[in-house]
Amino acid sequence: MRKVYVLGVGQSMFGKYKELLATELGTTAAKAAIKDAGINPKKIQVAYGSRAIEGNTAIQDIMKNVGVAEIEMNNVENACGSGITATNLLYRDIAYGIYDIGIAVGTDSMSTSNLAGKVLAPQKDIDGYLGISMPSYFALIARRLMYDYGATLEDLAYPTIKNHINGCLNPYSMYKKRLTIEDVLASPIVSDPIKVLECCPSTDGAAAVILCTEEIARQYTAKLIRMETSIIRSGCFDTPQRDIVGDRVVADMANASYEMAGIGPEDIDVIELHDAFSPEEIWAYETLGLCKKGEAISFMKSGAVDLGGKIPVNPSGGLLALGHPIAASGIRVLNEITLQLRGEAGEHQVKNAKTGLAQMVGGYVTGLVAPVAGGIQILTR
Amino acid sequence: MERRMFYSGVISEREGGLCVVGGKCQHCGAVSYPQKEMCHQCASESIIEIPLSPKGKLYSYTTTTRPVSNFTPPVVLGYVDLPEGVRMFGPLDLDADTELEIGMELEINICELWKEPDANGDDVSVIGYRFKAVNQLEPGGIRL
Repeated sequence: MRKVYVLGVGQSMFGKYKELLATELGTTAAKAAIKDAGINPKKIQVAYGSRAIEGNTAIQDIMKNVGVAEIEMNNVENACGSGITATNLLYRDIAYGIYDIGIAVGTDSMSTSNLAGKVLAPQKDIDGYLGISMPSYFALIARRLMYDYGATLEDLAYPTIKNHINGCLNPYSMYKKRLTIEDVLASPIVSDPIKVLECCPSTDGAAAVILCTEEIARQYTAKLIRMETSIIRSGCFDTPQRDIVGDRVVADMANASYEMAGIGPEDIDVIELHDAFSPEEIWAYETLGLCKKGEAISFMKSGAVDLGGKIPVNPSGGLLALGHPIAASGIRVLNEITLQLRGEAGEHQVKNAKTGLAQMVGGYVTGLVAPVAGGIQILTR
Repeated sequence: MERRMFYSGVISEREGGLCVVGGKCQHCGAVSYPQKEMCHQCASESIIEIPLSPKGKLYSYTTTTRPVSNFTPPVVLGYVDLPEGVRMFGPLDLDADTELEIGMELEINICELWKEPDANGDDVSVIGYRFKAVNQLEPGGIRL
């Protein structure tokens, strides 16, 4: 297996752009990654595109705008895990010597899609017919976080307040406004106990990344950021009376990633993860091994995951403040970790970050433990 | 009025009326809902249809304020654990004075979920289930 490096990262602004198509946003992101890499785009040997909504020819449509056609291109769909799935396949192509350099682009235009204004829900799925939607699913888990762990409504609001502070420091962020606890608790209920300001917005945007071999990376940059590990897993079968707080599959992926990289969670300096709903970030601290089971709330309240804390989580502003164009997010988290390790994260820079973890998950299928598609990548400087 | 099941293979007519059914693997005993074609535990195809217990315990609940499926909000939703070891999801249909409490016993109520037009524009009754408190009156409940 060869080493794989991140050569270029780019994204579009995240926001609501009814006048822009998803492919236009994707082109912006692809161009930005190409410029960041400093390469002629005709060097790209393979392309993966992800677009969770309405896009089965997205990558070909995007790449034609940056002078690239005819090479192998694949469109990848895996719910919120689409972007990280695309980069995982690209990583594997390079690691196993199939290609030396490639691009992955994730884009979604939520506001021009058929989902505009609606809550995300599984389609043609038994629980979907019975009324499940993503906010309700996470609300059902948040209810148990309160019941089993003693989480209060104030505790559930902590991640969204933290991530909105971080979003103020990120120029790409959809929301650049601080929230008070009063703002959050007074906001309307979406699915109790989850409130509007605890839900990620519906966002239009795109992100792109160029990966390559060590040999190519050394030709273009002195800032070598290596993708040490990349793992994708799917939701497992449900088990009787399962504790729905936490995610065994993501925990297993995290442990496998740490083992592959020869590190432990204490060696991670910065994390970007799926915070579509504020309470979700709380049990993720335990799932990723940042603290012991049962200690997530006290760990969070100690300031450990704040921008200035021991292990900042979502310094970018996360899905909550930066925004969540579904297929872009899996690539956007990878890009953020790259910028952090390069020391290029500007006002939301985590000091001296050397090792980072990107996690992205998504999808709901009755009979499997949701999220049903997910991935973790560990990067080092 | 014409009626159709909201989803195939989960509600069956058995003696005593309609009931929710799952699958039991004859090889390893694992129970699944909805019934799988190959066992999720051992991949055997020897799966038989079994009636599921009509009662279970409330595991978690939430009330959504947004339109979901073909329902008008607010909709109370929950996970209910059945003694067979399956966890079911569905809308809760409770009297105004019934307090929701994790661990409370609920009963499956097979009933109309919504109406929808068929190709001719006539109404079709879509049958599914909601959970109600045990001994609650069931105005929407369906016997044979």
